[in-house]
Amino acid sequence: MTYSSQCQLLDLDPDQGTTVHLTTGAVNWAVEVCQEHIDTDHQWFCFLRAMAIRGLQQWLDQGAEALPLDYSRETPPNPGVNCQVNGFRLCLVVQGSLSDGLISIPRYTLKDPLNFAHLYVLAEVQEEADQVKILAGLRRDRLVSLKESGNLALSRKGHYHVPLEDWDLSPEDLLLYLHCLNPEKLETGHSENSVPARCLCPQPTLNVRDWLRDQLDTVAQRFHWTLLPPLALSHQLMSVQTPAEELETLLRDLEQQGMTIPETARGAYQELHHQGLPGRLYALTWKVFDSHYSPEWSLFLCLGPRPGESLAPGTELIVQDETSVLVRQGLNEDSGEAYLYTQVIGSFNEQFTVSIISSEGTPLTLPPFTFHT
Amino acid sequence: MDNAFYYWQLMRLRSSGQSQIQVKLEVQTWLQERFPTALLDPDYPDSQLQRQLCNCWRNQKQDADLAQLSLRCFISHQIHQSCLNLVQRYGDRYGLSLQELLTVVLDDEGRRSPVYRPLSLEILESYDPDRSALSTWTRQLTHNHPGLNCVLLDKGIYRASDWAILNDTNAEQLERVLRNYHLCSDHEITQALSLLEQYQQVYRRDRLLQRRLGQQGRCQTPSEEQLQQMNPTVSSGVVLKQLKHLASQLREYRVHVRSGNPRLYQPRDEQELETLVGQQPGDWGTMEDESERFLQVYRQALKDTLAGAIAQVLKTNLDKLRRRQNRRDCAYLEGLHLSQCQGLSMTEIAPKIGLTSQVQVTRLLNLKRLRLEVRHLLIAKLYQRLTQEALNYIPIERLHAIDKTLETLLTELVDDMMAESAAQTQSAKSCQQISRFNAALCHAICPLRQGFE
Repeated sequence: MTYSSQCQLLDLDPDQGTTVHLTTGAVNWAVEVCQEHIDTDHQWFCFLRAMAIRGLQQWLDQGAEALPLDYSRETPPNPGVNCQVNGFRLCLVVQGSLSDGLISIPRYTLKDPLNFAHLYVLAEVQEEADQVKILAGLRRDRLVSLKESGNLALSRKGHYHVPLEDWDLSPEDLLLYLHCLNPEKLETGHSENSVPARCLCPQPTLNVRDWLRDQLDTVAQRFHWTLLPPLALSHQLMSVQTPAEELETLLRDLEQQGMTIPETARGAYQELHHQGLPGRLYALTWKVFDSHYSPEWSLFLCLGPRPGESLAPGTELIVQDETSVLVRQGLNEDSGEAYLYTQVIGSFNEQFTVSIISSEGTPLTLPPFTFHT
Repeated sequence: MDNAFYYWQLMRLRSSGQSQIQVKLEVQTWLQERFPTALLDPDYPDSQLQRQLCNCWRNQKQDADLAQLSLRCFISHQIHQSCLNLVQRYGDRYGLSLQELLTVVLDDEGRRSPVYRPLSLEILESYDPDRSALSTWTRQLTHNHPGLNCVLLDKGIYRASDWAILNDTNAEQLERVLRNYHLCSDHEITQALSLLEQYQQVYRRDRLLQRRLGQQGRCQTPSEEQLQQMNPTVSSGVVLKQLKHLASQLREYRVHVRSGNPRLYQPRDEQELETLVGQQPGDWGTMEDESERFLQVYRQALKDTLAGAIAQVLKTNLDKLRRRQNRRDCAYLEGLHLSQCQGLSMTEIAPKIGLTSQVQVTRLLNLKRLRLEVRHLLIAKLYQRLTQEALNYIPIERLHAIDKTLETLLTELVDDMMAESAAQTQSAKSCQQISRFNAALCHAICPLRQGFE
């Protein structure tokens, strides 16, 4: 089966044990209860949340042991703690048809000492089909520890963004707790205020100026960069090439096309399989001396295959500065090219972020390249 | 080219509903004269021939209609393959047949100038050789086909439409997806945000109005009027194209997230629970903290409590089904008997209890939930008895450990309990070993069935 047909199957939601078909009455209630919102965004998500609540209710009702869901019939469900079962305060969160990889949770559901959520329930609402699927759950104590380890980003609107993979409770686990656990067991962890939330903490950067001094900094080492010897464009062509020789061969070709790289340039390379992608990435840097303006530095990048392999068509190389995409190059099926290469120039305080997207669509973003004195 | 015949053999439907290959001799002859190298060179890329054929057709050169028909032939094979993939994956469980899918999408009769617009032509007209391979584009549009999606939904397989995805995406999500996943520029993001807002103002409003009037079902393509309202300054065709592009970017991200979270989006088939009869003992590795002595105490306690717990769960389930409009209590009991005592598969059971597909039986019996409910009832009963403590004080980790222990004990094979009942149930499996859970379940089902008769 090809990759694309795999993808297309992943786009489908087959009916499962956790899929609930909403009754007409449930849908009608959901439509009516969200009417008081005027703002289209709030109204829409209120509608989905109301569908989710009734979906959760029907799912709980499917069991033999009664688990009555308590929620307000008159007021629209809010995005925080919005229903209760057996003494558990639940924050029911909606996943729409986007299938987002980050789930937004209002901060107060963790912080409020009187009205925090014991459990978070993630429900996928399939509005078109009047269906709700119970996807996963998250325990309060687990969320607290995620937060304390600094792994949660706090958005501008005061929401935590919890990655989908951290929702580690299965629907069966949720039932186990609701049936057999005392909610007090989840009430630990009031230390919310002691550790500040990580607000998109700065990424480590890699200083390529060290390369000119024949050094690799710790970030470069951590990300498997290997320093190449100074350029010597006179090597003999051999059948088995070292990475340095491969690069030099390529540079000779480029030179014939009019691109010159000064002999002072220093480079490094890394095998991308360390990061889960095929291919090898070369980076060369040098100081631009002939600039009429402030001093500048240059970064040359070359993405190629590992020896004996070839890069699959569709592979992309992307370079961004702090505000926008500078270069986006893709390997074209028809072009017959084996490499993707590009060059960018910036002032000393600028940095460049390099991303690679494999032919299968897996993105990889490397720590930004900087040139500090 | 290995599959050169794709370009002159049309995959089409006979009136009987069977698919059939129809050789288009005029296309074959023309291709052999016009593109001999493409057909003979084994390494000649499909993309190149497709580009040449596209040019010939789009530039209205001589034989444009033959070029078009040739591409339609190629597309017909891809449509067929797409449907085949769906049936291979879901056919058995969801009662999906290749024929009913093909009827909806394989509608090209292979005329040189078709009297109506078949899907293959629609695919071809919207195809841009610079953006994707024709095969990928075809599969994408086939999966996007509203009729196909309706058939799938009827069988219990839902696929979100472009419009549902656009409805359910807020500005914050869109910005994040475009910036971090698609690496779009600020300019592109600003444009997309404003497009989405224009769309949602109109489409969500109308959708909620329709829902208020009791309408349901899949979201339809925005009407001419809606598109005009979204952006009066641009032609509706352009707005539609922009929206579809945005939706495809979001869908790409959606599939990426789903493939990265198989636990949530590709759960294992529930098949294993459909054939519990005679299965292997559970995983003892998970029970390190349970000494053999302790397990003995559990087994003894189970002897006293398991039958009661099963009877309780069965009674509640039957009562609920009896109160429903389409009384299914009898079918439920019969289904349980056939599956758990007779060892029949869900597919075999379906026709015997008036259902059409395996997945309907799985839903009705919901064995996973049944088992879980019994276990949870047992936990409450056993914990107090074994520890002299109230369940209220049980720590989370202990709760999970007990649940696992119970599951393993329920899966343990027993042979003594069934010896006596073998004659009564005339069970096909009665002479073999059977799991503790199945044995107790069959004991409970037997008198209930007699009650129905």
